[in-house]
Amino acid sequence: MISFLTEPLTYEFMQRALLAAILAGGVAALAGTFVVLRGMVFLGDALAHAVLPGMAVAYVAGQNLFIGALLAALFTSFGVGYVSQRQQLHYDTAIGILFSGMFALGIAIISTMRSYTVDLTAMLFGNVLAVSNRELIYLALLSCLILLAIFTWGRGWALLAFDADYAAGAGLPVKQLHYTLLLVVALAVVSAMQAVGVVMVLAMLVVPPATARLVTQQLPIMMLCGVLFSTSAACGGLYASYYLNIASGAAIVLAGVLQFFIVLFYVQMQEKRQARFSKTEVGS
Amino acid sequence: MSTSSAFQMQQASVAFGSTLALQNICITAEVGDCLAVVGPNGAGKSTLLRLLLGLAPLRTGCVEVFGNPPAKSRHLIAYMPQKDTVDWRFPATVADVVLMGRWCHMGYWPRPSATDWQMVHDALTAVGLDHLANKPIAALSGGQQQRIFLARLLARDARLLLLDEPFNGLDAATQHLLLQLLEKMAQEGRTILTVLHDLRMARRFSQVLLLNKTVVAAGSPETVLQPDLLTEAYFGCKLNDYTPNEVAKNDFVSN
Repeated sequence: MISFLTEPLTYEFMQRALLAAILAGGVAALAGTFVVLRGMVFLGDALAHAVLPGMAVAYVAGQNLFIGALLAALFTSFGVGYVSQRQQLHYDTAIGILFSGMFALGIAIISTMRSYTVDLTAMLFGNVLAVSNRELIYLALLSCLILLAIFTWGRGWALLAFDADYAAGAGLPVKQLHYTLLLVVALAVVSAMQAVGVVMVLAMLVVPPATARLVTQQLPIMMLCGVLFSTSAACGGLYASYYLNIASGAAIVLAGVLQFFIVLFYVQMQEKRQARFSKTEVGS
Repeated sequence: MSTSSAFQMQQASVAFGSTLALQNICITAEVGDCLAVVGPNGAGKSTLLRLLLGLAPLRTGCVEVFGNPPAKSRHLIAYMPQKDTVDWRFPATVADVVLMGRWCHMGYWPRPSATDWQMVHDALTAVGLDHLANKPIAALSGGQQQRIFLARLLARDARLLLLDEPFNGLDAATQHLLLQLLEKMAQEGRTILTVLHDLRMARRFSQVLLLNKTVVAAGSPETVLQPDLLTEAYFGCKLNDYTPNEVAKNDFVSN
């Protein structure tokens, strides 16, 4: 049993992959908590897809992929804000336009490269097994930055998600808070990109916080549980990927989704049992 | 502007795009006034509150709250939005929501002090929900939600209180409790502006403002809640323009 757990870790690339998946998953779950509570899942998905052209340009220019992705995510979040100022257009329409436009631009840029399919696959589906030491350091720095932002603005984001009118009336800088949240979501997307790729980043943002929401009614505990669920999904996914020989990104996402349904069924069963219990109490 | 006035609007107009929401509003409220704002749907009642918070786009005129522009006086204003505007599935306890009222009194890295918790406790006791402090808000009934909002307003300890339809969904006992609390706060020298849709409730306030995009009438309930003025505000015409039959149909006006 112990060798089952330790064997994969004898490989250095697996150690790095595990560390990267846990770090990226953890910060994605923290930022994702606010995405889920504010009901901006679609915007999270758009940001995740919109980083593709930034990564592609950075790749072609031989620059850091993180920075390319971050710039593209920032451009998209401000672009959505700008387009949705038009009263005739809904917010999600603006997201849809920017999202598909940026994604298409990314594919177009990558299609000009010689090793088209290999590079595209890596960016779309991620490759956490190929994380280098240098990328791991970037990831750690990004995680610190995200944690600091959450400590500073977390309460403001929470109030904004619960009661935006009151937040504005209480003198909170609502616009500034909105954009700092977008920035942090963009950072989290970029950090989770390497692990699961553009297409599945949304799962890292949404699934662990949603699972956590099922088990608690308090925000700090929800954030903590989100990190725990995302860590267990990262570990479970990577081991499954090692032993069952399936793509690592997909395995991590599947582990998270499986975990969600297990928790969902467990919670429902508990509620039913409680209802039955209180009924018999009333009856007697 | 006199030193005793809590807020003042002069020829204030608000427009969203090409739609005029409020036009030429001129009102002054003295410190300790207890005002009720009544008017038909779409009369701009909520916009009036938002204008005092500095959240509505002022097209012309000027608004001052305690001698300053609204945005600069927000620390003196407490606002109670309608309870349907928030997400009641949010993961928070009753005490968490009331504590939100104290945030403006904390620093940049808000950590609640013993005083803050005491205020939360006192506010919850005042609305009779102290025993629910650690319950999740998702488990509350509509009336309890409204009372939690009221507790948050009390914890805020502000000089100007703006309430948007606070009596909605309350039973008679809680309505009475709310009225008593408002009277007590007015006696403490706080100024209160409450949007109402129940005209009978407006009679319990010291001043009534009848609004329909512009101020139709303002003054004591006896002078403002008159059939002809109400018809003008609610139907946009003088009473004599209506046939007796139509007036009878809308007999709530005379109540």
